[in-house]
Amino acid sequence: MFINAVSFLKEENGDILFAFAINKDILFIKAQLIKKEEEKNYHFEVIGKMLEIHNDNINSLTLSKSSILQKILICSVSDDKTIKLSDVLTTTELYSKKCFKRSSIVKFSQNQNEIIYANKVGEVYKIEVENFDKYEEQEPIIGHCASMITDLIQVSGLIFTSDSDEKIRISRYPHTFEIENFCLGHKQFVSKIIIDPKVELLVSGSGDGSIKLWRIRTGELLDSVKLDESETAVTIPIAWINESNYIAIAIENKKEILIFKVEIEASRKLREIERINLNFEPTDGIITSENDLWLIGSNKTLQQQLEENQNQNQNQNQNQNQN
Amino acid sequence: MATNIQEDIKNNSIEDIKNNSIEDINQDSDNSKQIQRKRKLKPFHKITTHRNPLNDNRFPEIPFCPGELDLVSRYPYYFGPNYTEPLKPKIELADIGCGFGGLLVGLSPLFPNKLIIGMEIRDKAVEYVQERIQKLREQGINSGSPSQYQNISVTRSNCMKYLPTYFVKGQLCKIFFLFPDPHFKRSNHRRRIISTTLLAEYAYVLADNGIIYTITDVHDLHTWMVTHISVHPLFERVTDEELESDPVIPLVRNCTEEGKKVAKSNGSKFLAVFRRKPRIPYNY
Repeated sequence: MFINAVSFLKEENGDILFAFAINKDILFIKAQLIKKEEEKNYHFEVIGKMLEIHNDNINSLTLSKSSILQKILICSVSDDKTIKLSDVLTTTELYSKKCFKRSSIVKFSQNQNEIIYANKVGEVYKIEVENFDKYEEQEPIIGHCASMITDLIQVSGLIFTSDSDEKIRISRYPHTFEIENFCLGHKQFVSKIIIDPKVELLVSGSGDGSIKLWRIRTGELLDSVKLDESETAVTIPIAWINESNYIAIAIENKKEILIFKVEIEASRKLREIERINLNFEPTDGIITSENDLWLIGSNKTLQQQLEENQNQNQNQNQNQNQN
Repeated sequence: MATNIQEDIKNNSIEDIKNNSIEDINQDSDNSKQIQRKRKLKPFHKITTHRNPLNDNRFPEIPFCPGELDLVSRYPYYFGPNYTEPLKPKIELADIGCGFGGLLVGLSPLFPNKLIIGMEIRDKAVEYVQERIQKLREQGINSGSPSQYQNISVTRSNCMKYLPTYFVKGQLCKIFFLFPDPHFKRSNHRRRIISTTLLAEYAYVLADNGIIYTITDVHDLHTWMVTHISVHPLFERVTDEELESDPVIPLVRNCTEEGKKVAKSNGSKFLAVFRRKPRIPYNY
């Protein structure tokens, strides 16, 4: 089974809802947190399926707990040039709208009131969730001329868009016509970006095999680390580990996860802490509020759990001992 | 550079060169005498007018970020060993689609403390302008003004895709779009250089109160540009009264080959100039 896209929803009680896009279908799996004294365990359950919801491969999907519609929603975009909004718990499609071009990525805005999607020619559009039924694709809110949008994040009054022409653009949101900064320097397409919880730093991965650390306020490059010398290496930042300075990075087609420490005061701001070998190739992941790192692999539906708290404490102790 | 053009001319038929021999176009900038040169530059009609900016090519000359733009080779006078002033001038004016460089040559003496760059997607046109600037600089050196035309240069680039890689935020005080390709067909409208999405990038490279100049002889394109820029929240129209005192306007109208062509055929020129509104600080 090949997973095209995955989305997560963290619930207050520690449960995690996963939505997997497998070709034209969507599969919903819930991981229920079971805490017995000191032990933590998860119980997995398939809570729904939406088979053949699209007529072509699904490129991206995104989950949301919408307070407006009082439902858990999933929005999906596909090569069939449609964007669909569906209800997760009843696994029914609510609305479907046409796009002019194939869309590559879809995300909910931070306040969950808008859906932002981008297509393969670099146009980014916005839909208000409560007016989804009346939506018609018209003028884009952001344009990356003739580039494919590879990642999109909307957080804290800003919207971050990265494209296949090595550019990362930081624009205001919702006034996307005012660009705050560009983060320029990658030599190949930007694969994915992750942002620290304080919205001060950005780490980007790229087809040039490096990860780069940027300061959001100025767009300046703080540090760059080449992870793989081969020409076809693609680095994929997975997640920023909550309020800490640790980030998890994956390399395409490599069965490992790398943990880096971000230290802005140091001269070498990105420092590799450890490489953990896995038996699958991670392509996506999530950090829970318990500081657990979940990794999703592209070849299998295997999830692996890491105790990050313990690792962090060990590292901090080591550093303190050295000092 | 010189030998490439000479070889090109050799490859063309001798008929072409005889029939289309041109006087050196630098005579206009000289004002006084007409200088007839023995070596002819490549005839205009051999350089194609149309180019699709949406093609995927990233030319090697395109920098990956503004710090990588090679200023030393483009402005050797200011970045060479003889320039002893501590403050180097910066690129503050950009001619998008500079064609054969007419505007660059006209602007050069007006802004002696600023650097001006022409951006052009057609490599043959870029070669032509490089040749032209080189000759003008040599003339200046020979006549005792070594700084003449040292503040203009040209680069091959695709501005629709890569403009922010050249300039930092707010670097430019002026940006020119003279007689842009109209792309008449509706399906080609997305190739037009002025569009709502690109205006955000132009606003990004322009300083507060920076000016955007547009001129065209195609009324439909003029309406398109005026509508799109006027509606954009970051631009406001500069009135004709304010333009009367702007020394750049006569150059915008008359300096380029395109402008002269339009004048010869008694066409109308539609000018539209806009100011980039000052940025409001943003707390997020």
